[in-house]
This record gives sequence, C-alpha cells and structure tokens, in this order.
Amino acid sequence: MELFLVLVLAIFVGILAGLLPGIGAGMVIISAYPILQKCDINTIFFFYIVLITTMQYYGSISSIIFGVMGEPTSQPAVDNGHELFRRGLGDKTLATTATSSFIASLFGVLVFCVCAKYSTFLIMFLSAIFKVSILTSVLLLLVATNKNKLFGIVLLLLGLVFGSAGSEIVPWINQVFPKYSVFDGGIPFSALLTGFIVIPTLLSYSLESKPIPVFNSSSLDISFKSKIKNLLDFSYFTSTLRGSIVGCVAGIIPGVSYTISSNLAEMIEKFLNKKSNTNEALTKNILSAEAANNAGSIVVLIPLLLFAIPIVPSEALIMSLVQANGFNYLTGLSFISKHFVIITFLLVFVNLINWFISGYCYKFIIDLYKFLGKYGYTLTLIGSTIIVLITGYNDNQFLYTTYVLLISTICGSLIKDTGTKMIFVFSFFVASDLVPDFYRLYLTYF
Amino acid sequence: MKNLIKILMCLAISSVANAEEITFSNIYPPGGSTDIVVTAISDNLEKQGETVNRQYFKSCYDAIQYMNSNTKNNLIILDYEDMVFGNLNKGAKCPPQVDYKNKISIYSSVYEFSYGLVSVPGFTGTSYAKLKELSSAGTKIRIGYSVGPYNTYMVKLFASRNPSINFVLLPYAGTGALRPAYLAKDFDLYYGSGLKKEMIERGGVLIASAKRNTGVTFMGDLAEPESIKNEFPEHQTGVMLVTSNLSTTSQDKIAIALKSIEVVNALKKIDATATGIAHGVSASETLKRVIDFEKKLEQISK
Repeated sequence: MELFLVLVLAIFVGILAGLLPGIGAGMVIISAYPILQKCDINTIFFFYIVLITTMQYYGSISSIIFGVMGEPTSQPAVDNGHELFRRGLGDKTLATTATSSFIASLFGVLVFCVCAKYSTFLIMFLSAIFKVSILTSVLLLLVATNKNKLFGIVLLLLGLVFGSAGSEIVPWINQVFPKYSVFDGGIPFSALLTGFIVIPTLLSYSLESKPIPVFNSSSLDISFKSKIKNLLDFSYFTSTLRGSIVGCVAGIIPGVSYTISSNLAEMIEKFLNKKSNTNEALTKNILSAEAANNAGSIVVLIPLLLFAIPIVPSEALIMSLVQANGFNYLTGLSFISKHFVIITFLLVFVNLINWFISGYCYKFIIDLYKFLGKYGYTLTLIGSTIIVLITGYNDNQFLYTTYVLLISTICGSLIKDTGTKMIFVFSFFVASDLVPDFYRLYLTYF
Repeated sequence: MKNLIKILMCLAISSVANAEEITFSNIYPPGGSTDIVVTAISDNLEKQGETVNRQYFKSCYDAIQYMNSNTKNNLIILDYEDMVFGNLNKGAKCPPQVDYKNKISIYSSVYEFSYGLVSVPGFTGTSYAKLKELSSAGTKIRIGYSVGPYNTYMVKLFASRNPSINFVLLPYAGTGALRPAYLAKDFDLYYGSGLKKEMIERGGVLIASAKRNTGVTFMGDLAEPESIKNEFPEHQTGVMLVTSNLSTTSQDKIAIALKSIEVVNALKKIDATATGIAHGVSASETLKRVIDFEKKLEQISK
C-alpha cells in the first residue's frame, strides 16, 4: 500500500515537474527534502526512481507543443519536435516520442538488471581513489562545460568549503567554521539550496511578462484508433535503438549522464541523416534524442544504487538522504538483492504507465500545463519556502535557517544561469565524501 | 455508576497530572546503536505510562541549545568521549561545560564496548611481528579509525610508541564511512569497536585489544622500547545519558527501563555490554572513569 502511494505521488510530482520548464529532479528533491528526511531508504529510493523515470516523458510534451525549452535535454525536442508540430504532425510526434522513450527505458532496465546481477566483482569501485577520480571528473566536467569557467571554479571551491562545514575529518575546516557553533551540524542544505536555486528560478518564472503560448488543444482531438496506431508505430526503431545505446553509454559517464546524452544522440542522428530537414529526418532526430534521454535516466541509477556513488546532482541529494538512514555500499547491495524484483517491476510498470499517459492522454497533460502555467510557479514558491521554515523550526534552528535562506536567496538571485549554480550544488553535496577522501589520500601518499 | 465514572475521571486526570514527558535527544544519525537503545528505553517507558519525546539533532551544540530552553526531564545520549568533564577538550562533539546555561551531569552509563586493533581481511600484517616486517620492507601501514578525541589519542599514542613501524593514521567520520573503506582496502588496520566483530568474521585478525586481561595482547604491551609499556591507558568507553534536570520519578522509571528486556535485547543486537545504575555502576563512578581517562590522556599527550 505504501509503495502504491509513493508510486502515485512520484508519478504525479514527476508529471508536474516534467511539464514545468526549468524544474529538474534536483529541484524537486530539494523542495521535498524535509519530507523525504522523514522517510526510510526504500521510500526515498522508490520515490526517486519513479520520479526520475516519469519526468523524462513529459518535458518533451511542452517542448513539442509550445517550443518551451526547460532544460538542456529539451533542445532536440524543441528543434525537431516543435517544427514537426508546426508542420501538422503534432499528434503523431507526441505518440511516437512516447513509444520511443518507452522502448529506450526498457533497454535501460535490461542494462540495469545485467549490472545488478554481476555487481559483486565491482567492489573496487568503493575505493577512495576511484571515488575521488569519479567525483573530481564530474566536477571538472561541469566546470569545463560552463560558459564562465573561472566563476565555475570559484563556485566549485565554495561548494566544497560550505559542504564541509561541521566535518571533523579535515583540520582546516575549523579555521573557516568555528567549532561549537551552529555550524557544527553543517549548513542546512534545504534552506541553502531552496534560497540559492528554487526561489530565484520560480520567482523569475512567476514574474515573467511573456505569456504562456496560446494553443488550441482541440486540434489534437483525433480518433482512438488513430491514437493507438500512432502509439504502436515502430517505423523508426533503428533510430530509437541507436539513441538507447548512446543513452546507456553516456548515462553512466559522470558529468555527461542523461543531461547531455539526448544532444549527443541527436548529433549522431543528424550526421547519419546528412543534416536533412525532411519530416522523416526530424522524426528520427527527436526519437533518437528522447530514447537517449530515457535510457540514460535508468542507467544513471546504476552507480547510485550499486556503488552508493552519485553522478548527477539530484543523486547527490538522494545520497545524503539515504546515508542519514545508514545506506552505504553494503546496505546498497543488500537493498538491490532484496528489492531487485520490485525495482525491475517498478521501472517497467512506471514506464508503461507513462508511455500511456504521455502517448495517449496528452490532451489532459496540455490542459494541466495550461493551468499550471498560471499558478504552478507561485504555488511551488510559497510551498517550498514554508516547508523550509517549518523544518528549521522543528530542528530548533529557525533563525539560523531563516538567515541561510535569506542570504542564499540573495546570492542565488545574483547568478542567473542554473547550470552554473549546479556546479555549486554538486560540489556542496559531494564535499562530505570528496574532501575527507582527498585528505586521506594526501595523508597516505604525501 | 455515577460514582464509578467520577472515580475513573479523577484517576484519568490525576494520571495526566502526574505524567511527565521525558525527552531523549540524540546527536547521532537515526538508525545507529544509540538510536536502537533509546528506542528500547522509550518502548519500556511507554509501557510504564510515560510520555516519551525523541529529538534528533545535527550537532551536540544544537542539543545543548535545546536543553538550555527545555531543561526539565531532558536527556542526551552520547559517547563518553563526546562530553568532556575534566580539562581535556580536543575534538569532543559537545562544547565545553562552561558554555552551558545549566550544569549537565551524568545520569547513568548505558552500555560499554571494547576497542581493538584488527587487520583488514586479506591483509598480511596479522601480527605485530609481521607489521614490523612489512614496514621494514618499506610498506606504509594505514590505520583507519573513527574520529574522536579518545580514538585519535589512542592511535596517535600507539603509533608514537612504535616508531619503527611506518603508520599512517586515517580518520573517518564513523562506522558508516569505515565499512566501505575497509572492503575497498583503503586501510590495512582498523582501530575501533563497531566493525571489530564483522571484520574478524570475514577473516580479519584481532592483533591487540585496548583493554587488559581480555586474552588478547594489550595494545600498551606493543611498544618500543619495552620500558614505556606501563604508560599506555586502557580504552574504557561506552555510551551514557546526561541531563541537567531530571525528576526523581523519571530517574526511577528510566532505571527500570535500563534493566528491561527491551534494552537487554537491544544491547544484544548491537553487541554491547550493559552497565550503569541498573547494573550497580553509579553515575559518580562513571564520571570518575571518564575523568580518569581524560587525565591520563592529557598527561600522556603532554
């Protein structure tokens, strides 16, 4: 029953977050952090798995119909999907995109299962050297792909310092944050990240003068038979397969993951199509890109669930939550073996549901999007702020939380680019693992 | 019938008036050994009709702040080494006593555990002689330990008493961080308690114990030159409940809870030995042990 409730809630939140441009998995986890803190490991993981799987299906809907690019993964959907929509192929594009995403997700699940079954030999992945190499490469890649590299480095270092507050391992931390002060328990990340990312982003969307694109959804009212026919159209299976492979390979590479895999798949498809602009070429482009996106979103779970190593910011958030409940590599392995069937079933079942909703019931999604376009951002903004303040009060840290929220909101409002901010977020969350590991390697080798 | 209702109502009102809420504050993450024991104590107290409030804090500083504003019947559960009663104050989780609004004292110790030096399964340095041999061949011997004032002093002291072995001391945040690290062989020897049993079951060897007369070599006896052996203290540690204002009724009820089957089962689960007022060890005796150990370490560290 609990699993069912988590499933329903995560699908609902995933649909909303997927539809609203600019709201990624990281932001959802930050907003829900205080609630998730009260949950057990199973609930947290199931919620995350369903959420991240669901979100991938719905971002493309707003991109295809409204040409809205919420995140970097939406670029191919905007370029190809919206163009197809303008050419009168909206219904077909929406349905085939959902199918392609579904096939790719199943491919990702297959890869996940193979890795989960043969994981014991992968114990070397736990070593400090491996962790430091992976996490450092993620951080460096995030900085390298950022427009302003110098500023990226500054944010990276700041994230590492702030994320280390309260650490007892590294001696110099006490020079930055005095011991026996409020900093002993670290900086309240839900307040810091809500102020740094969530509030400025939602505020900018709420105050945006540009209206939500006007669209008459009645033009998508096609017959049941036609919808099913579109949904079961596997004409471009090879493009989907190519995208799935790209997604699986890129998804497991730290720093690349599914955020870049869709662009990579589109690039490959464009190359194969010789940059053609026909309906067929555009369809292949979007199907491959969406397939890569979905396959990557499943494969990206492997390092987290098998090795307790987060490779995208939202996973770092999830990791901090489950670590507080005693999750580590050992419990991770037992978690996988104990829940292997449930996780596999969950992944297949959730993808099946989302395939149907996104590929068949998109008219409802469009209506929902139109409603949320007016009120969604404001409601989320108020809700997130209230939740953070209540948590601060419950933790007997109301004033401290309020200060952190205020200061981080000011800082977050000054930095416009969310991608740049994510450098800080990722380094902040991996700091508690990365900095002590670095220190111990230093003690060992120098 | 009316009289019966009146009596029942009076009983209910008087029991509500007499019921005192007892707060347990935990400064460690939920799910750990202290949490398991507090759950057991709370279960028994609730059976006794008490209302138990459980609070989790991210730091001892926060727990003390909370205690400063909610003095009545508030207990903090913590390791001996995390609150300093003497002069030693390098690395304890809790601020020095001078910072407290109300004087905090030990109510009772709850359980104790023994420390030891265990080789990581698969590591060839399974004895003192082999460690020396490996070191003379140029190998660095890495000791992983949970950061804390006592642990840090003990491993530093042990390393300093054995200059011919090239020890590298690697601090970790706790058992949670040490477990994957030993599996990945990020260190060679483990100094601590929580993973001792698990590592031995997996093939690790208990090279020495931090307590005398356990049937295993005492760590203090592994020293160069032999003349400095006696200066090495035993590592006597455990978990205690501290408070600033606990009513006599609550004291009695907690004492009953500490002896209960719930607590006995919980201690079995975490492989710890019961101690404290329920087992004839008074608070003053625990305080004496803690201060003695602090003094000894202070003396040695000079």
